[in-house]
Amino acid sequence: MNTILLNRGVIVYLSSEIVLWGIFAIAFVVMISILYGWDFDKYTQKQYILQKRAWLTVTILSFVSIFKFLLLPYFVYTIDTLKDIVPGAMCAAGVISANSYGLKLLLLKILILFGFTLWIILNRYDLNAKNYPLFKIKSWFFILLFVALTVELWLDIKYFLHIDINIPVSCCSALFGQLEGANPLPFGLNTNTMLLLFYILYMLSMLLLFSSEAWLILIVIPLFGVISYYSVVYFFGTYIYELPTHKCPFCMLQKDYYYIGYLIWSSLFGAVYLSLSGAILQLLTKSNSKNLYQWSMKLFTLFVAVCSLYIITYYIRSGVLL
Amino acid sequence: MNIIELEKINKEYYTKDGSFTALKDITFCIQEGECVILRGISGSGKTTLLSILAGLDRPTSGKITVDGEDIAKLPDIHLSHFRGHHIGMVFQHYNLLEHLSVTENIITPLIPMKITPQEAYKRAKEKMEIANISHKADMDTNRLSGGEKQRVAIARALIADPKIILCDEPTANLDRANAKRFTDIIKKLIDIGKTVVIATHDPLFWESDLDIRIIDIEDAKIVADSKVEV
Repeated sequence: MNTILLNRGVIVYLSSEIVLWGIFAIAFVVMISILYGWDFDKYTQKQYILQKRAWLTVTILSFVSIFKFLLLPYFVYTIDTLKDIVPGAMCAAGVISANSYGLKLLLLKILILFGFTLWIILNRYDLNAKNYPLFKIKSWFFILLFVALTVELWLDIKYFLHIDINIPVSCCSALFGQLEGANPLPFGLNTNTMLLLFYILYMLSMLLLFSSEAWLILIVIPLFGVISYYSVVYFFGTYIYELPTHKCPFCMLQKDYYYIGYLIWSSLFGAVYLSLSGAILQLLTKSNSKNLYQWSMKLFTLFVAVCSLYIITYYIRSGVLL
Repeated sequence: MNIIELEKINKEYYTKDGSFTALKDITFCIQEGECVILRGISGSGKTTLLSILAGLDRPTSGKITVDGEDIAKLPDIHLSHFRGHHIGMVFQHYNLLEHLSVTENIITPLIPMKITPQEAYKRAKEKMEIANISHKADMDTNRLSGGEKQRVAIARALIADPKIILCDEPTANLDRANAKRFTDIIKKLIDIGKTVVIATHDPLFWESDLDIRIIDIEDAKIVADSKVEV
């Protein structure tokens, strides 16, 4: 049997994912049956029963989805602990690249969490209205999410089953291209222009969120998210590690760096999720997403402040930049 | 103008032994400012109907509009808000908080409404005067008589200034003198424009000098609907 599957972190993680999937599967079946008979304009016994069932189902789903948000950092933490078993791995970056499923799984998890953020926001709007205006949209969206959840569980199992502890893996020093001489940054940018773009996009994002420009938010925020990711890995990360050659998105999640990666990534992803969900809600319902945008602005500012603070404190302490 | 409209309201309860029909095809309207008596023997369905009017229970099928709101379809969070602002309910057993004073009991419904304490006490004073209970304002409710408790319940029902007051068997636990006092208060409420619906089988109401409409309920159905004018 694969030794990885006997690791207690993996057992807890996989068991939790399977239990959650089971609950989502029940909700999926119930949701389809509700959608099949739903007609809000009717005053029949069937419609009243469906309304009660829908209320109960979405309430349970809202609570259960919180565990999905907790499981992503736990997943990263678990694969980080596997570095002691997987040869060649020094952090989660090595373990995630132990087979071809790892990176796909991580990306899917990030997308699913965005999906859940959007679903929770649509659900909240729907329940706060008097006539379930988004019921069908949010239900179909959940059905789509369930398909993604099923693929995720399949990838989870495939990923852990196919980690071969006899084959050494490449870790962050070799993974991110710096040893190969190729420019790993997007759009052919160099570090300086990327950094300039990072701060310009931050200010532009603040402006767009402040003025609630939904369409522009949907264009600019994903771009800012991508630039932020590369900026953290290829620039700010080097100040966190205080080593110009150490470019890894995972090591900063470790105790050696005071788990600062959890704050950095959660504030970035939280801000991106909330702003995009707010923009979609605004376009769907013509409602005001100001509250979501305000939270998003706070999280973006926290993210930029934490990243920038590492450079400032390094400069104050050493008088030079890396 | 109709303040309450019911259209083919049905209510069934499901038990291990099968289903039980509490209301069947109930259809009627109540105009603003009307005093309506739901008359029927115990088990006829009048309390169930009152609960549905109050938004405390939902019909199995049918449409119910109260003060322009389709309450059978309202999600729970809106329904609680609706009840708080539009409905005043006087329960048969008063449902008072025994360890609180009269004033504290009366202002309790205002807590979720974020009304300032000054405004709450001012309102409580007004409502206690209408319900003739001002002289017991600071007394704990467990020291009150049945009639006094009921007057506290009335003041509490009025505190949020609802348009509709619903009373469930209000005189069932009162002696004749207190029951008569209650009808006097109901008269006051009608005079100030409230719509009052009372579920009762006490003849005192149709023998009093109130302008009332009586809806007779028997075996879950309306069997008569008549106006009694003084």
